[in-house]
Amino acid sequence: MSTTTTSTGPTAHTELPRTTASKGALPLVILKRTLGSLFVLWAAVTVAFFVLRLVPGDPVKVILGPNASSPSPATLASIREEFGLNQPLVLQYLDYLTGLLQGDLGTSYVFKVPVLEILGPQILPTLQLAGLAMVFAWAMALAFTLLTVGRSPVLEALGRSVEVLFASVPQFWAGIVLLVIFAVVLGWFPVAGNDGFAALVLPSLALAIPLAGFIAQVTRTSFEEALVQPFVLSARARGLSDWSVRIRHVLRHALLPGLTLSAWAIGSLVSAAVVVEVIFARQGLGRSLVDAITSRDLPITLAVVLIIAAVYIIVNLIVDVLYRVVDPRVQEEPA
Amino acid sequence: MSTAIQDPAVTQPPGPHQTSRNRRARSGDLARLILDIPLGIWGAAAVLVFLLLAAAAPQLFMTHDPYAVDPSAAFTVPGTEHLFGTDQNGRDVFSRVVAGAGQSLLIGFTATAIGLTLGGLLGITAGVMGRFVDTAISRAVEVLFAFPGLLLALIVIAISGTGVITSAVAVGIGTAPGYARMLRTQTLQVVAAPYVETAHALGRSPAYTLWHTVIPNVVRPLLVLATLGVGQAVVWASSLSFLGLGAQPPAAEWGAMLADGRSYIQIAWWIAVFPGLFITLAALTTTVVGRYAQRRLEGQE
Repeated sequence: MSTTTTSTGPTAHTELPRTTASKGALPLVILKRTLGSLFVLWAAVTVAFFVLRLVPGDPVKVILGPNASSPSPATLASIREEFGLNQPLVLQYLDYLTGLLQGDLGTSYVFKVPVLEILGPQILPTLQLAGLAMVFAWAMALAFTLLTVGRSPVLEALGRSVEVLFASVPQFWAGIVLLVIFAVVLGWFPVAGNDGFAALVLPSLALAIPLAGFIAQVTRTSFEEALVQPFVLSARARGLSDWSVRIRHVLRHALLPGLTLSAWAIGSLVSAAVVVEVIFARQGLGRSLVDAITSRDLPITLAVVLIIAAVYIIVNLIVDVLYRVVDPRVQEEPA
Repeated sequence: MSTAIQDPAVTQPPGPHQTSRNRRARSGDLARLILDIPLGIWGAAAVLVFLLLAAAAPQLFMTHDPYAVDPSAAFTVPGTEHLFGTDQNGRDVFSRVVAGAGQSLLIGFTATAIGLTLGGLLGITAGVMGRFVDTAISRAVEVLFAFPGLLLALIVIAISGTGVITSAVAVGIGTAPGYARMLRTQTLQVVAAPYVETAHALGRSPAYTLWHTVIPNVVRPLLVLATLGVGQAVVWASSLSFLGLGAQPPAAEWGAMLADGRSYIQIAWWIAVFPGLFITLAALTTTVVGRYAQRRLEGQE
């Protein structure tokens, strides 16, 4: 399954992790990876900055708002100056980069306050949502794997079907069905909002269902492969119970592909949160993004795009490094 | 999420054009072939045919005018008169779902075609040219991967504005990096395959080998990828409509209908649930049929 490995570093993208073992000492590899990720991050910032400049329409009109009657040229000029729009594009770009390094994401066109002030409170709800979704997804995927792989054909078929079904369910439909059943009919959870843990459960589940299907499919394959390995036979021969063989021996070998997939999925979880946040009328980055796109608030759009990209790149870097630390085949080499 | 699901396509080294396995399957009689295919696949294929028929000729199935407003019939519970009930304007939800098939599937097919074309150009070029070109394209694709899932499509929407056509283009561009990566791997495998070496040894020119040996073997699995991709594209496109960035109400588009129904979820669940069910069915059936075709093509069945 090495092709599902999504490395963000520029070196040796496809053959992770086994063939990179001989590439030198661990710290050096980590340094290389980090530099590679920084390059991707910089490129992502640059691409996003210039591409989003293609948004049609004059930003000044957005800044003035829809109700502004024809403003005087002096007003226009002062607004241009205030938002740095009178400078050449390259200078604006350099300004933006300098600002980024100091933690300044610019000023919102619509709200006229620093972007960070708007988005700051939105980051945590989205991370909570994605985090809990990841927990739910793994819980379901592990349950499917442990309960159905290597069991009777009927159970196997059932497991496979449920996985395919889950993987095909779009988050927003999962959200609607969960809402109808658990919020409207049963009334166990609130229909919308951000209040406390109860309001987090259904949206996280909606995000988790397709992801659980994907993780379970990957884990099933590697679990099947691990089940027929000699070490499993020897563990059984030592008289270990089926469950203890499955959990302590087989599962450990079956987890890595799923973990790699999860690192990749963090990014898409955060962007899929867009839809789920709208369905459940939750606050969060996703909703801010949709609102910003609709109102053409360029700085906010750019900032959310960059936050999601950064989260994706950083998580993948961490998993990439962890992989090297965890996988013994990589540890043996440098000495 | 399409990359993960479609990855098996590239993990198997592609064989030359026609395997003996395929030929055997073709020479077998029809009855045998029908019995060979599992029931679940038949079910999925039947639903898929229904969706395609509904897309091509919605009048075959529609029981009402999908746009006819009748306030006196608003929020009718699903029953014999209105199979899927009626919405807040008294419009028949079943007829609207049928009418929506065409638009949703058309967007799905268009987006997949765009994604495959863009991704194919990038991936095959990278795989065939190698060296500097490969590095440049791979690096660029990697940067695009930093805008995961719907994000790339949302960026395109931000630039091009909302609408049906732009959402198809946006979804196509959004899926292109995934296809580029897969087709690059696929191309690398084909280029390294023994039969390409044979072609070289036979003294074929590089251009001839590229056109007659490499490209066909890279493109052959595309049909399956496309089947798998359409479902994904339908889901993404309807996500955009749901967010109000794609098809706009009162269009009978599944995502837009779902957005409409969300507002009434506490009094009339059917307005949102049925359009969503059909989005799911489109994704599910294309996945099931596509993967089955993939396994058959690989001769693993």
